[in-house]
Amino acid sequence: MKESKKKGISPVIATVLLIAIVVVLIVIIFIWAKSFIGETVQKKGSPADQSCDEVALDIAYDGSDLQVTNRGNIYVYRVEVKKKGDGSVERQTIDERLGIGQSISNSIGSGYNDIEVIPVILGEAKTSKTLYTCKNGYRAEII
Amino acid sequence: MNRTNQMNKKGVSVIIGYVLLIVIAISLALLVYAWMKGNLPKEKQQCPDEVSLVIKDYNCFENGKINITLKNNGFFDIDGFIAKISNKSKSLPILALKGVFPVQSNDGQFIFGVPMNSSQEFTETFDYSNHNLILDLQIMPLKRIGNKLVLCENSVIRQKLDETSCANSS
Repeated sequence: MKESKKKGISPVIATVLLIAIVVVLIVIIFIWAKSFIGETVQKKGSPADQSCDEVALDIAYDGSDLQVTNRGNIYVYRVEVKKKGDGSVERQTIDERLGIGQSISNSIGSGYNDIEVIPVILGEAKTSKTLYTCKNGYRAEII
Repeated sequence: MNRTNQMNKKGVSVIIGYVLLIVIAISLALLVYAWMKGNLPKEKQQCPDEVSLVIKDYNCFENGKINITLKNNGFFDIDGFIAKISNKSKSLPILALKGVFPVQSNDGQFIFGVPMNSSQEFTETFDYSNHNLILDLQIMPLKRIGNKLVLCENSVIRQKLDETSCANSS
């Protein structure tokens, strides 16, 4: 007798409310948590790191000039050069573009016994283009 | 007494428990999906390893022209190539060969009007008069993959030339 007088929500309305609450909570949590995943620089839809692995450069140093040929299929925006000699390390930026199959030759000075070239590629981050310096460099052949 | 103690214990409503479970499970799944989507490697547009182009023959002329015969030794069609030379003994081939009119080139890049089939040969005259001398010749094959021209980095060929034969005396 007492139980029949208890009031409550219709089961249909309860189910709808449950589903609505679940969906809303999921969307809120997803939007909030996405900011923790972080912004990644991408190139052609993949993380820029993967494009860096596809970069292929032929590099030679003849004692004064550094010659670089882009033997791969990734456009290189510019190259950073790490020059080692006599216990010192110098850095230089060669701001020249290397399209597919293109070559450059630049004077970088003499007296170095180890040259490392680090490619910089152009990637996309959210809505803007951004430069990405590859983590791995390429050693120049001393000729 | 035990029954009374159990009745007085507080806990989360069963319905709220279900809601929380479902929300947590689906949220985790979506987060993992979003993270994986940005980190899974995409398929690379790569040239097949069986692409092969060889320099069958070459003839240098004193007026700064060189005749080159290329042969497609591989299993796939080739859509073009990039020709570079060096004119110094200590140098990579970084100087672009030019075409002789009406053959057009773009920084050493030559594209075939009709792809070069397997076993086919191609002979053409090129201009090296700007560089005076050819000591090293490099040919990088190009192949169309989808709608993109891809450089076949594993099929690049290089040939040292006799320094007396390819010298421009004009």
